[in-house]
Amino acid sequence: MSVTRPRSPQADPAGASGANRRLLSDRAARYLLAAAAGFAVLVLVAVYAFVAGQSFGIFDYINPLRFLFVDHWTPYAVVPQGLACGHLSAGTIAACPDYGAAGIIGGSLVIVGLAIIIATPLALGASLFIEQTDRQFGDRVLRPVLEIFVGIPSVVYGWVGLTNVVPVMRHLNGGGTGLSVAAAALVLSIMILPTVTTLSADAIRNVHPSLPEASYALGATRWQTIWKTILPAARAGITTGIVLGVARALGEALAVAMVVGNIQRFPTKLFGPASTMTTSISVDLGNGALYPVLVHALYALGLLLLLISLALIIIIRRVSRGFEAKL
Amino acid sequence: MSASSTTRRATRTSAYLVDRVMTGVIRLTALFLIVLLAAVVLRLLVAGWPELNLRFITSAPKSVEAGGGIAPFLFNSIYILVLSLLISGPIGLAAGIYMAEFAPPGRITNAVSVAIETLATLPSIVVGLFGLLLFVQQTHWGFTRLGGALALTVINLPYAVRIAEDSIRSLPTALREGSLGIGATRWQTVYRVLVPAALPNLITGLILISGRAFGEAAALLYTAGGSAETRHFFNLNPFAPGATMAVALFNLRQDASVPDSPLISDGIAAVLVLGVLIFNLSARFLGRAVVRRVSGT
Repeated sequence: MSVTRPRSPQADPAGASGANRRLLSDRAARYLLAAAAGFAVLVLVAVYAFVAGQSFGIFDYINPLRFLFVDHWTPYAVVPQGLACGHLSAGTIAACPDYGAAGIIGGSLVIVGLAIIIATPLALGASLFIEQTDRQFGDRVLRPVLEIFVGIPSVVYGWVGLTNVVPVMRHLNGGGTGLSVAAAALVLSIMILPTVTTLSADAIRNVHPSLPEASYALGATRWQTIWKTILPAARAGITTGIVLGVARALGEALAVAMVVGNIQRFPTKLFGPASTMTTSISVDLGNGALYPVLVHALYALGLLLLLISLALIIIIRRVSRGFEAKL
Repeated sequence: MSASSTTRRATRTSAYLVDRVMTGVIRLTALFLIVLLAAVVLRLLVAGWPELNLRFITSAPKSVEAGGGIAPFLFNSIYILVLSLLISGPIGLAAGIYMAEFAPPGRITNAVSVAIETLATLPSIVVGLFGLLLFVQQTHWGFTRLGGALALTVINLPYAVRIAEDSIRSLPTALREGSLGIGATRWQTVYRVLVPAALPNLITGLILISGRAFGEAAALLYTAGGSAETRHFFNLNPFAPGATMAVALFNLRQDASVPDSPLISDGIAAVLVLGVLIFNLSARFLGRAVVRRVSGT
């Protein structure tokens, strides 16, 4: 590639020559392209910086431990006359708005956990169908169809959940609104199924053919080959798919907000309402103009979401690197 | 001897049995998934069918009576999408070219690609929080189509970079060597040889990104806002508020002022699903058509 390194203009007194201009524009273009890549990084840094900057305000009001580990979210509490709620203290705690978000954070974890528990076995079965038992149909029909489903807007899943899943939950519960943890988990699991299935199928496809061939040559059945050879070999890719499913479910806001009931307490009943970090942001932010401290609390939830998805990315990179190291 | 061969036969029979059972389980799982997804799409299209007509998508919504349309929401969806692609397309292409052709391997390049990957997994509601702060409050614009488009750009950009990078990277090395070999600079190689050769993939990628961004709601709720201009919705003012179809679908569920809001929601959902189908199928079709034209067969 040294051929393309620009000669320095001084070395060529006739600096206006076409060749030299081309080399200069080559260099200019390179800087412009690098600037574009730098811009993408800048956007990421800006998102983190702005969200973090807004969220620290809440910690002037309550301490971080209370925010994370106490389940008491009363942002709309009416402050009695004459009481100043500058910083939550033992004296004002009963009357002032409180922002203990443990119930909301717990709601997120419970709902995402349930969604993954429902989606993973289905996705694994379907990906084995695509790559192992019925490859022709899987490749020509199911895989493209799943790719289309990945693109269906999440609010559409929310609408289906509201009109079809929620009534079923109401019936199963024998009353109530039906807006519930169970409805949210089901909607999320349907929503992430195409993603997890497609990624698992990719992982299974990427298993080197020599592995199953060796297994079959030893006389193993197809299921023995799948269970003892293919799934272990595809483990890293499948884990990546599941973790990306977790990230998508955790970050989904409006589809969940449509079916979860938005009650900001830790969910104790499967068919009872709950709230998640994303739904709290999307529902409560609308009242932000009147409740400045609440806005800080919501940005803090946003920051927590950012940190969790960062952790998930680190997990994915660790998993795939560990796998490469083993090979 | 005979006892051990019996056990071996028994093990083998049971292995075959397990194999059969598990194959059945796998097929049943896939069947369940297919039925589930088919049910979702059929339900959406059947329920939305009465609304899938020209009047519904070309007329303005009504506030107290039934029979309103979705024209402003549809217009805003397309307007915001195009505006955001105008920003993320060129930047994404440039960054992708840099990552594929120029970035020296090493820690910094690695960090940049991690950053782009991280950008792609940002929860969209958090992008909405960011947009509210930067494009709504700091700029004093209020809820605008432009603010929505910029928030959408944050979501699109990493996909645009990745698609451009992948399309350029996957080109055969012979193309580069040929161009450099006859004395072209690397930049000339990029814009005269590599970008044209990658065009089919770039176009397919652009359409797939559009399909995703078309239904985005969470990032737009507090940047483009929940209201739309219903009288002059065809104007191109980027500083008008711009509720999109997906945002309207989210807000309609608790809007009691419109008597037929469930029907309108069904209509919007059906239009969104059809939009996804159109984007996907045209990406597949156009991608192939462009390949054919460029390769001259």
